[in-house]
Amino acid sequence: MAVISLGGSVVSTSLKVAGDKFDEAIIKYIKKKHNIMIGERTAEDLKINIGCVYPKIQDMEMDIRGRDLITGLPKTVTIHSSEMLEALIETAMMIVDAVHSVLERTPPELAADISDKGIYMTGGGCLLDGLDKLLQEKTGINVMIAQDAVSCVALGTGKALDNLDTLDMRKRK
Amino acid sequence: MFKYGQDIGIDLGTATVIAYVKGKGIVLREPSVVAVDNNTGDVLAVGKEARRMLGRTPGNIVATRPLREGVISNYTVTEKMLKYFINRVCGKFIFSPRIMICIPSQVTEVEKKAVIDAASQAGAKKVYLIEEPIAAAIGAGIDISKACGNMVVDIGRRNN
Repeated sequence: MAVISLGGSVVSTSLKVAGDKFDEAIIKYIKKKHNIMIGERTAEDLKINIGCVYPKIQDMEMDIRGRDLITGLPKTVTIHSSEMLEALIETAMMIVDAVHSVLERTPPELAADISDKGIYMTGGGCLLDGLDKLLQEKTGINVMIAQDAVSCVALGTGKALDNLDTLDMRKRK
Repeated sequence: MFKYGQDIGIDLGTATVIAYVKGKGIVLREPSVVAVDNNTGDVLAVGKEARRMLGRTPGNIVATRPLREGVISNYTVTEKMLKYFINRVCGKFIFSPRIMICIPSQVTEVEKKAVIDAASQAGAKKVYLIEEPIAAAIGAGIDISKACGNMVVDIGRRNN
């Protein structure tokens, strides 16, 4: 995440918390609460289908299969989205805290611009249900999810390519 | 006009590799997983096919994600993966493409060098790097050239 002005980043931080940390949190939670070991892909499915970090209006559920740690046999359990909230909230708060720390280090003029324009979220991780609402509630700043969030970065690199020649010129100087 | 190779933009993500070709849009979206045969060192599968092998491989085959936390953790495999993807995007072009790859903010010089080297070895004529948040901002349609603050939170699979 970064604060960008005049084509460069002013304050930036890179956090090793994202999609896979959410999956790990789900695996840990299911293991602790249901005594069932599930695989990474099942965890990811759970996150995509019923995962949330902000209370959902309608509770959703999903059946998952894993290995029972006590009997050692495969077992099916039903997981609710309220449980997902419990499992994911801690990891989500780490992202919120990181945004907070970036805002703290942002020069006041730019902070004013941001509170005016809002925060843009991109990347596949921001499709996690409620993450934008959580961030908006905790920071008090409008949060927008970019269109086609998943391929935003690739689109951006592509657009930057159009200006490659200018970039080339600048480097030569 | 005569065309000297292509320009490719690559989002070298820990989970997914997305490639963008100038004038064509997004041409490739594949999981960044590579399956390697340990006995021979050959690459068996890349992308979707390799992802299906994750966690289901016999002893001599290893399906791995060559990138960890946004940076290259397995150089050789990353290079092979890039080569495969670049070949698929470009076909058999005589002229090698110019490639722009995005990297997370705050990576070390060594990590940057690794990305540049891997891409050049994979067949790029010239490699450019761009910071992920900046690429994300451009992709989101924000005009970043103005003297105005914009905050971008890019949450990928391993990084943000």
